[in-house]
Amino acid sequence: MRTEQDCDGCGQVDAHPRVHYGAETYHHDCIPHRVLVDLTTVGTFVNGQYVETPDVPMSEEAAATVARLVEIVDACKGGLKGDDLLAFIESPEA
Amino acid sequence: MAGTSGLSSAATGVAQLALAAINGGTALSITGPLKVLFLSAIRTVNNGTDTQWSTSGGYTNGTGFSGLTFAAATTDTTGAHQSSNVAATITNAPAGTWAGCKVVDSAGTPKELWYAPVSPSKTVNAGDTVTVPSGSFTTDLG
Repeated sequence: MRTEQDCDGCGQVDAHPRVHYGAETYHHDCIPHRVLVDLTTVGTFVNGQYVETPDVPMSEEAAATVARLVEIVDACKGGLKGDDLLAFIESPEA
Repeated sequence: MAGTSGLSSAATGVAQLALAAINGGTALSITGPLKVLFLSAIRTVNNGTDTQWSTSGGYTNGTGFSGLTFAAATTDTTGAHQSSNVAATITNAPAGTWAGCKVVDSAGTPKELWYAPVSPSKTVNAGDTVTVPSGSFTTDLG
């Protein structure tokens, strides 16, 4: 059973997937610009100056998933098809 | 605010280690990267009694979000302050309650650094995205 929640963007109450941004809650397509910037920017110090660069900070788990997807796409581009592609996708390491 | 948020003095906490280091004892060693662990229940006193989310969906127990970083420390008349400068996000979160977070290091036996509640706690549906906004971990000494 999914719990219905408010959206702080559109105000609608439903059980659709949400982004919990601290105390705020949004539908994924109701995210304010400032939140989107925070989710897609990483701040670093370069030569003593604070610089924000486009990036998506991810957990190790999410980063590993993305890396795996890239491997599968690369394998497809390399011509892997059919059962060979299935075996590659199902292999524990690639 | 020991008890509701602050520097952990649990058995594996760093509060006691930091005190000893400041007072001339053994230097405090922290192993990066820092991890943000998400909690379904958080201590009410500073004893490390938290319940972390189980491994499910996009969350791995003991790993959480890895790579928390902080902006440069600042000082004012109330002490020294340092805030996180990266959003700590878990995508495809498991269903449950988000009651707070704690920050640990990556040592073999992880040291507990900071803990803080989400108040009020939030209900998370499976597949939701859960983020601690950049700048939301505000740490203070002094």
